[in-house]
Amino acid sequence: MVKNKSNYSTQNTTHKKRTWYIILGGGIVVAFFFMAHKIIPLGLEKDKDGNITLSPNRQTKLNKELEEIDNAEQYVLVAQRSGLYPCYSCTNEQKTIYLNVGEVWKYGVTRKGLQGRYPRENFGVPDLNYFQQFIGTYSECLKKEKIKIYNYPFLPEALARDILLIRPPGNKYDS
Amino acid sequence: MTAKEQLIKAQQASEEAHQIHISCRIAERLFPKINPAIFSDVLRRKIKLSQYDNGILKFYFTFVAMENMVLKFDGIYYSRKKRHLEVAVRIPFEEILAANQTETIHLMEKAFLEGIDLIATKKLAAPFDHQAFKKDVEAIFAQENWYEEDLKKYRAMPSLGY
Repeated sequence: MVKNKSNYSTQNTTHKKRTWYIILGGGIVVAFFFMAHKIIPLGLEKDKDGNITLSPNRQTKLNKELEEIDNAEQYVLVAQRSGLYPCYSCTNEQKTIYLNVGEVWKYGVTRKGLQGRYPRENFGVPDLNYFQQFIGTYSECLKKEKIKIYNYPFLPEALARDILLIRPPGNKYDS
Repeated sequence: MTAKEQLIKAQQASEEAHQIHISCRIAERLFPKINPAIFSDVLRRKIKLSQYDNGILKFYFTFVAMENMVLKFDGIYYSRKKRHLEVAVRIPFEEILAANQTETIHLMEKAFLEGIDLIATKKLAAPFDHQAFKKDVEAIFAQENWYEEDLKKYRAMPSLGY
């Protein structure tokens, strides 16, 4: 009985080892297969000559993004009515600022085709008008925006205020 | 509560109470010929959206007028969860350029009514009688010089460039 038990134990171990060798060998074969045949990710495909190329969808996406870079606009958001507006450039814990009708709240650049999603385009702030000031490439628009933000302190409306703001109330950063 | 805190609270309450918000996406040189505040002031005084049922709790309208429309700004969007409707209607740039102030107001009236018509294209979360809404707005626009008082107010502001 003991001898039979011992034989069973040895055979079981050998069987297990053989199984692992088969799995390992199979894994090596699969690995060599994939090394020889590259996995083509989504967005790439082979053309009729076997060359890797962009898929039509990915090419369309690229064209769209290039067009967005070339077609941008620089805008200004101004107060539609006199009242308090959020102030992100105010110091000393002041969270709001009083703006008169027509005063600048924020300069910005957009290159995405938002579908007139007011108030989303106004960053959730009501009672603002959006004025398109410049159309051009994204780079040109960013420069226009930056110049306007930096020159904001010299606007008559900014100079007339008791407190000096380094940039418009709605601009958290310099661009 | 300080005077400023009271002002903030009052303004917030006022904004929350307002059901109609009107704005614009326009070429800068068209302002103040296109001044959405005139429409906003009058319609907020005279229209209560709740009387048309509760399918729309907030109505956001945008006048769009640009010479070069490189970005898509017109269209309609409805949030079933919030019951907020956002609609933007384009007014031909050349028409606005050629129009005087009164003609511009009429073009804006037409665009606003077109915006109300677009409500029918959306499946709302609850009933809303957009035809009654349109009828009431039309009645306001039909009154001669309905906008004159508010226009005078804005004309008196030198910074606006009237």
